[in-house]
Amino acid sequence: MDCAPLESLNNCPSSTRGSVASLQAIERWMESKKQSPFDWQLQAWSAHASAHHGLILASTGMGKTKAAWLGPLGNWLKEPLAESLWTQRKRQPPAPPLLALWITPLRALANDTCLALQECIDGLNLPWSLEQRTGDTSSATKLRQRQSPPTAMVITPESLTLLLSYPESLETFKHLRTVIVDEWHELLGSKRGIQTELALARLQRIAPNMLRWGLSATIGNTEHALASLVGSVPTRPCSIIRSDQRREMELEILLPKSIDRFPWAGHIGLAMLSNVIEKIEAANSTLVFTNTRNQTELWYQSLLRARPDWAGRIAVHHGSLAPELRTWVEQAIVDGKLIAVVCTSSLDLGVDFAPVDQVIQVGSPKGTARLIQRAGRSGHSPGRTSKLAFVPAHAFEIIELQAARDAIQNQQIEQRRAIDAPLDCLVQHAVTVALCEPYTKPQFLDEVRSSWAYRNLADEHLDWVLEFVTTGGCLHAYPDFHRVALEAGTYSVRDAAIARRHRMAIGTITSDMMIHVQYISGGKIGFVEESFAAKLKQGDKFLLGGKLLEMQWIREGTVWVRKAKGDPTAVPRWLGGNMPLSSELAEGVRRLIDQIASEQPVSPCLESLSELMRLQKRWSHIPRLDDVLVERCTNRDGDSIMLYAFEGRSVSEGIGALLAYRISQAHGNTLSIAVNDYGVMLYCAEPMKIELASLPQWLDLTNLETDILASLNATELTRRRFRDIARIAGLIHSGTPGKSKSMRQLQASTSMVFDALKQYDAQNLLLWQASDEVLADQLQIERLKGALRRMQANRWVYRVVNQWTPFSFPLMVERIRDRIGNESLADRIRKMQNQLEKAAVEPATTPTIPTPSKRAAQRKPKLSEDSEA
Amino acid sequence: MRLEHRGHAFELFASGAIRWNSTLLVADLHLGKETVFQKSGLAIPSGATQATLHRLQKQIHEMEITRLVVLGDLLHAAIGWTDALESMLGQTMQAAGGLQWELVAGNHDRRSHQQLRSLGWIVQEPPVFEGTMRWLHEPDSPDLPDSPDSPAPTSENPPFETTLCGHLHPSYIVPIDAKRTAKVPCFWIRPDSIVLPAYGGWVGTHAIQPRRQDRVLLCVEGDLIEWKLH
Repeated sequence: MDCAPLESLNNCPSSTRGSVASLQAIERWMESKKQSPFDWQLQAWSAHASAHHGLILASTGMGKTKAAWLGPLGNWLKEPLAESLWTQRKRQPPAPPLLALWITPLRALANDTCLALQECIDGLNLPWSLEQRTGDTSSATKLRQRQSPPTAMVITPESLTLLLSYPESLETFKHLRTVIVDEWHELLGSKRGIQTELALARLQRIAPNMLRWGLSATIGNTEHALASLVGSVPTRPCSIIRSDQRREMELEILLPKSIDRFPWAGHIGLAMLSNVIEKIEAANSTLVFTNTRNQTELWYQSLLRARPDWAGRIAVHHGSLAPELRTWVEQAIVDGKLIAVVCTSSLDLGVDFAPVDQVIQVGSPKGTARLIQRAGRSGHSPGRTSKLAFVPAHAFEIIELQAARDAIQNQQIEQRRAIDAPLDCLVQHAVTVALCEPYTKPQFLDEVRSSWAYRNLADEHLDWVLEFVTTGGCLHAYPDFHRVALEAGTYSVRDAAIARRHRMAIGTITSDMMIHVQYISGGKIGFVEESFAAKLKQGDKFLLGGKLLEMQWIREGTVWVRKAKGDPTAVPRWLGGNMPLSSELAEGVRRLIDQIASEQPVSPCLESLSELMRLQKRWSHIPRLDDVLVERCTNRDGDSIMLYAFEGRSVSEGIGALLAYRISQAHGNTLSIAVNDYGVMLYCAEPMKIELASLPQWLDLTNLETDILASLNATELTRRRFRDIARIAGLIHSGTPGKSKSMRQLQASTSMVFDALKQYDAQNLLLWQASDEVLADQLQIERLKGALRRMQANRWVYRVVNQWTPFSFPLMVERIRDRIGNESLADRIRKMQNQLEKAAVEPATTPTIPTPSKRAAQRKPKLSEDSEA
Repeated sequence: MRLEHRGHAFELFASGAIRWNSTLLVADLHLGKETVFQKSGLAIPSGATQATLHRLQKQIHEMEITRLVVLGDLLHAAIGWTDALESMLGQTMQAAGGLQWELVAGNHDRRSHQQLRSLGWIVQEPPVFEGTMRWLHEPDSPDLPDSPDSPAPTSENPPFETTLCGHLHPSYIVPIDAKRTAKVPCFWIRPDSIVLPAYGGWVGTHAIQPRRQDRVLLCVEGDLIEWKLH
């Protein structure tokens, strides 16, 4: 990372309790509420008073809203004009112009945030008006806000960008003093974060004295987060404020009486249902976190089946639910009507609502930061203890949790990397700014480079972007295209229709091609992914929002359903269902396994794994920190090679794809792969013609990128990646289908746009961006390279095994998962496990070798073909 | 591929065209579509229109026909009609020699009849009756399984045996392997009608759900392959 601008960053200013009158007012108010400010809050206010930019690091519920918000309020109180307004206490003093913006990443947070901010305004008795502006705001309100803005606005990044596209914004934001970005860690590393950075650069240009403040949960790369917030050339000194209060955290693992000897990924731990029910009963309020929306639905159903009397007292909450339902659930928790809510990451974000008594985490959180955040949902106020009970989905997750515990102890939290200079966002921004005011190239370059993400933007990339929005960027290919007009060196938008369409497109950065699910009788339930909807057949039953629904038909972009009885026949899949283990946590897992291998004393929860580990040792080997374990098992199923990198799923996938591709190129074997967070299994019906000892050579780093792209269906991956890019860069029209006829003729899928570019403008930089993103984000090429380099330097341990080992069994499960349905999979696993249990107890006898379901394979001949890498 | 359908002999091509005696029928060329996008501020490169016309010209050149009939949507939209398109289309017509050019008007052609007529096209509103055939752009009721509700014969509506139409851009979703599927353009042969695939190169397709009595002919890389339903 380029660190030059960081030199100008100061740490916290030393004076905390200034003699500022405003601070006294704040303290008086807090005293009246029998609260006293924490030192770090005072630090934040005082830094704000000295006109610093700043980043506040605190978990939810620690009082970070006040820490950030009372800064601008306090500053305003210092002003002589304000003083008079304030002391006169007229009934309705005129509200000051727009002074503060509060950027929130989630629409759903806007309501709660407004309440919290209003409380401060009322408490200090300020004549400020406060409003929110999100995609849900009515168009009448939006228009009024453009003409006479409130003093403070709670706004989403998309709504802010939209507002910045109007010429009035130069006037609206002229008096802006402070921008506060909430949940900065959530925005960081996403294109919405980039959009926010560009908006901040724009705002700073309109209001040069504006202060930038950010709120973030604890992350590993604080300075980077601050740099992205304040830009490449900070206009003021910067402060980092840490809430020094460490919240006490109680982590408990709910263990079954006998631990599954052969753990397998994906097992949802429903065996622990009764323990979970006991836990819920013992507390007033509980949040049950799962990793996927799918599991959320399953747990909710299982809880209800076990406790029918809880109907109406437990609920589900996830991002795919209709907003009305979510609001109801959130309110019901506050009102104490609900004793438990089963939820996913939709509640990871910091709504300051409803502290619950305890959190139950089902399955590994896969990352330390996420674990902290989820635990922080309980005992949700300063000084109280967070309580988290963990339900491991399989035995290895106990190691993951222990690794997370260690990481918390040592303050090793994951980093969040920002994306570097994506061109699609810049294309959008170039049009947005042109809508607001005509600009010249140097002006635009200056403004854009002041944001951290584009600080090193190459001249030729800027040229391309401006060329692209004016002429399409490729001579002859776009004879009738003009989005932005270039006249006498200034860029502007002339066409009203283009302006309208661009504004419609600004808000679409996050849309995931979700489609509505609605009852035929009326009433929205939520969303499912388009790809899932496309596979539904009439009569298919699926769970959503805790209800079993029967699909009737899909029309007008909506899945129409009826309530159904019985069991689900289809399981919705949402993107992000498979979170990979973070690299920090993966390393922790390697260390713990090393501890076990060296027979050092381990923490009590790992003791429960000792039986399993002994078996691994007896049948194969437990890798030390600098070992790479490779197992090979040849049996009736064919030849299987397992390699354990312990680097997370995406790296396993990369290794698997690379090996399968290179070996098949050389030997003509068609190899299949199965992966999990710990390793990869290569398998083939015939014996593979390779020596185990040659594996390190097959993983050579030369030509890595080329081979990886060739190994995967790179075009298909790029095409999918291009979806978002096309939408952000405004290559497709994203209006509501069927709304007007003139719009209908502008419909084309992103896939068609991709084809057109590939065929007729192959040098288009947006295509390159798509394949870069595939390499960097999806395949995580840097992480893969790092892992391969480490492994090349390690000692390789080869073991030929006679049966599936505790390490390889989960991979075997992944391998057969694709072939057979859910129900039969569970039966199958149970049988295999019993066979292995026998082998473990009677080591003398010939080990029974389990085979994947032949019956199942015959039943579904089409699906029994192993899919290629 | 030869196809007997309700007493008529057709020849079907993987390009999406149908030959009947000395008449070649195509549907849904959507010429000028890129231009429509470009004029609306969407940066879609030109090229597909030119490619479609080249393909058509080549196909006409390869066979003895006297008449070319477009079953609607020759053009994408009125604003896509430019001098460049006019000259490209004119060149294609000239290169093909003394052909009769006919358009059974489609929804996208609605506001371009005049320009096409002045270029020498015969533009007719559907339905057009030809012997015992009916030529249309939009099929009567694409969602009904058997579409038995063909209008009763009247003086304006003579009795007919079969219907040729376009509009749907039919494609069929073919499983490639356990995890992947592909959308392949196809002829949709129904008991009393044939739906032509879109002839245009950059037009998109619509996945159909054929019934048991239907036939699906996939257009794959220059070949027509029948996909066996059940």
